[in-house]
Amino acid sequence: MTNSEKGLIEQAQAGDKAAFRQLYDCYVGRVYAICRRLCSDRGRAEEATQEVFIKVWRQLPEFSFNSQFTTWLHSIAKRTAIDMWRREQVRLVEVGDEHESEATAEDAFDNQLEQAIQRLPAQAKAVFVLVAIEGHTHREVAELLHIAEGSSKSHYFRARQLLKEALSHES
Amino acid sequence: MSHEKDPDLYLDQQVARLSREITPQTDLWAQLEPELDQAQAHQPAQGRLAFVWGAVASVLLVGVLLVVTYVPSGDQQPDLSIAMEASAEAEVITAYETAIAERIHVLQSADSNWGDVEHQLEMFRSAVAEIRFALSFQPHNPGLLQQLQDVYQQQLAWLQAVSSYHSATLS
Repeated sequence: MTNSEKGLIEQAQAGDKAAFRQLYDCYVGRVYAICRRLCSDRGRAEEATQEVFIKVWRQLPEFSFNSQFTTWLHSIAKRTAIDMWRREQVRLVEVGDEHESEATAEDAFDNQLEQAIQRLPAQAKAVFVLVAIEGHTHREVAELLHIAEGSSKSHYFRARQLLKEALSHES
Repeated sequence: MSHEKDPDLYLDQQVARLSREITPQTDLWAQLEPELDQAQAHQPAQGRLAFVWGAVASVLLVGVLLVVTYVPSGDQQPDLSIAMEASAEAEVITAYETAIAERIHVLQSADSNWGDVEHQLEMFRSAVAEIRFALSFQPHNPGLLQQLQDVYQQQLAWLQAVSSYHSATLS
């Protein structure tokens, strides 16, 4: 953490919104990427991103510099995005929808792999994003998603199979 | 093409190329900023709740110490009927339980986050249970009776604070 960032965090802790805006500008891309990959559409990803920064603003006075700010922020982002993902699963079950995310070709997902990830079944997508992109272990993913470690591994395996098939159709 | 030779390697390479950041298309800060003001306005209430948590934790600790101090060793069993018959304890319980029940009823019907309040009330109930357990061995101990009264008063004050907080939020 640089001195200037530490200064910004301290100012934001004291309620300085301009300092918090600078922190937001630094990290919104990273936070939105986590939320966008875990949520089924752009609207929910934006909602989750806002929720993350409100939580950060509220909890910032308790941040004690014992850990990296980015680690702390990413942890809040992942948990918030997973909560949103979980709410989506409940909604999908309630309306009797299929357990697959909406296939989207909007916003930043012009990359074929990103689009294929979005088309994965919900659990496989969440596991793949957390393991392959966010670098979590299957044990960590099992705790985050409240599933068995073995389930995490099988979802990951399935996700890889589906993604390899999708990429093989690439011209 | 490389993915025809080794699809796994190709997938890993594509994943490694994914951007760690995605810029949201919407200006989220414009929607976020008013929310931050509201969140900031709530912070004093959170501080007050933290104080109450501290008070409850202290009472629990005292309760545990009292139990450890007054529970007789060996095979002597507590006579719970003595505690129930102790008029001083009964008076305290009657006086406070009714007032607390009324406030809980009002809050329960008005608060959409009742689960959180209920969780915190459990802390007070545990403290009361600890002290009453100690009273079952020393039914006329003035220190224990005072502790019981203090916990009830703190619980009432906390419920009042929660009611005020919700009234302010709704207005």
